[in-house]
Amino acid sequence: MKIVVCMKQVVDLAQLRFKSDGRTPVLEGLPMILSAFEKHALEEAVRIKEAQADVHVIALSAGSTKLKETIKEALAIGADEAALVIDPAIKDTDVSGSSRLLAGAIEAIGEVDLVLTGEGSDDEYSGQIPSRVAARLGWPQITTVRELALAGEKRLRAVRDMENSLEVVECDLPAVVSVTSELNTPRLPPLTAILKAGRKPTQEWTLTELGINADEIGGKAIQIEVLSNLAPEQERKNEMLEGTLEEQIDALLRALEHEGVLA
Amino acid sequence: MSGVLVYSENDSHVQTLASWSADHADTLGPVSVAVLGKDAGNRAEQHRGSGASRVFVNEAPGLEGLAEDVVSSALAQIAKQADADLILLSATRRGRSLASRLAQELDSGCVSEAIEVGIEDGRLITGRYALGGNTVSREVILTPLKVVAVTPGTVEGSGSGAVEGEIISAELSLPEPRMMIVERNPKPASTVNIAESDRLVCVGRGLAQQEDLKLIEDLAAELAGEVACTRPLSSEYGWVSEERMIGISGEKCNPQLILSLGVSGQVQHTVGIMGAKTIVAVNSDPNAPIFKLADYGIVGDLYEVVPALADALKQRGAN
Repeated sequence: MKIVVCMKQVVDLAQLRFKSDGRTPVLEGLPMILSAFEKHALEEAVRIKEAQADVHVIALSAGSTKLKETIKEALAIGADEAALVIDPAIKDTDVSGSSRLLAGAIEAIGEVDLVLTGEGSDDEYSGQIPSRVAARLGWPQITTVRELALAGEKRLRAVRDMENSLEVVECDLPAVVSVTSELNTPRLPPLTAILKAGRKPTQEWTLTELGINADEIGGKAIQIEVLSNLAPEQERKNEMLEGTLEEQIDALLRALEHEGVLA
Repeated sequence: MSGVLVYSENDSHVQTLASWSADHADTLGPVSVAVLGKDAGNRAEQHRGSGASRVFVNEAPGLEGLAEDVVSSALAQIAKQADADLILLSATRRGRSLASRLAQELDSGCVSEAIEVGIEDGRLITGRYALGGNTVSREVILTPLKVVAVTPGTVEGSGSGAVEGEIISAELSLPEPRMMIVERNPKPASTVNIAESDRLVCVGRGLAQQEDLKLIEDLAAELAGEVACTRPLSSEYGWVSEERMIGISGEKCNPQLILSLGVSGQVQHTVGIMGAKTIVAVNSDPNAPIFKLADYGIVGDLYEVVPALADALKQRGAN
């Protein structure tokens, strides 16, 4: 059985800084890491592999050449192989284009039974990738899954977490499944696995090698125009209360009273 | 634009979206609503007065499981019949999943969780969180057909655009559902809706053990507020029920007051408290990012500050 886990390379948002206006994000120079939501998908794939024979786990991603380094973490966690679409044109694409790349790679890998994704990515969190990839492949999608079990070789059973209900669903494979963070706790790879990760096989494609034109994923194919992308205006007082604990609490209650926010 | 099609599995979301759309019919065009699946005919009646000039109904059994591929096929066909170029859905989990499936089937741009929807210069402008909630990306969809899933609570309709809608039985050719629902179990009835609470006491990893929640509950009681938490305390430790979790994958809250205790202030959490009127942070680390968002900050041990604050509130109440 072949499981593909879609993993996004994102900037390390914990290190995000803003220009002096406090609202314009500065993305240049930030380290690239694997988005954390997708690690729950990878963890699940590795657990399936550990529980049954003949499971092959492929970590799939698309992006810049930095991916070759970033993806090693997925290999250290337990993916058997990495599959990367690397092309300079990718930086200008949007979520529709990204789904084109991922679906194209899944078809190139061939005979994939299950595609796992996160519920969203750390940066965009749009959750569009599983649906769009499934639509492109013509497969069913089972999103926001918090429990997953394979029922034999060709069928899965999952518990979907909707806001007010839990839905037990079944479908035949192949299928695309997105998982929530409640599904599992991703492991931290041991140092030895990190050292060995670079020896695992990696297949790489450019757009051309996947038979995709750059204008299918950028330029006129772009579906969304971004007018602005700024931190919301926040007018906070940022007043640190000093003194003894008693003085701090006294000052706090007076301030809250003044603002009229106490019951 | 030539028209709007509104759909959600949640009837009250449909009414709000239809009513808002009707308020903007000058720009967006006439409003249609799709009501699908079980009992659709009866449910359609309540949408006649909400602002929709046409209510499309289909009760095909294949729609009952609400599988995204089947529902998106239905909506694509109805959008064509209604001559709608904007499809508005509700950004529930199911709605987000459906929106992007539908958008892909229509080869269209999609905003799957809009927190702002407005019209400027005759164009539909949406806002959504980006960069992990650090920023709001304001966007225009460029494709002829547009799909937007709107976060519940984002828009309101005046009700003044109400018209007596016509009910139309939609003829659809639908694929067989491939996802089968074995059972649908309601989650334990929620005891609290923190998104609607005026005062919240939110606790994070600074809490050392589950037993100490008592301190937080006592403070919440003195404040006449509710306990809330960050993701680790519910999803990882299971100390607090998930319905009290604030953040990008939890609740987004707009209280009058939130006391943030032992919360470091990672953006995946703070995106859920941006709407608060007043934010108070208590953290032992003076460099914790939460202080940048706070109106009032106390650097200190929550185990000292919380009981002292609860006592002070109790005395205030007694006086």
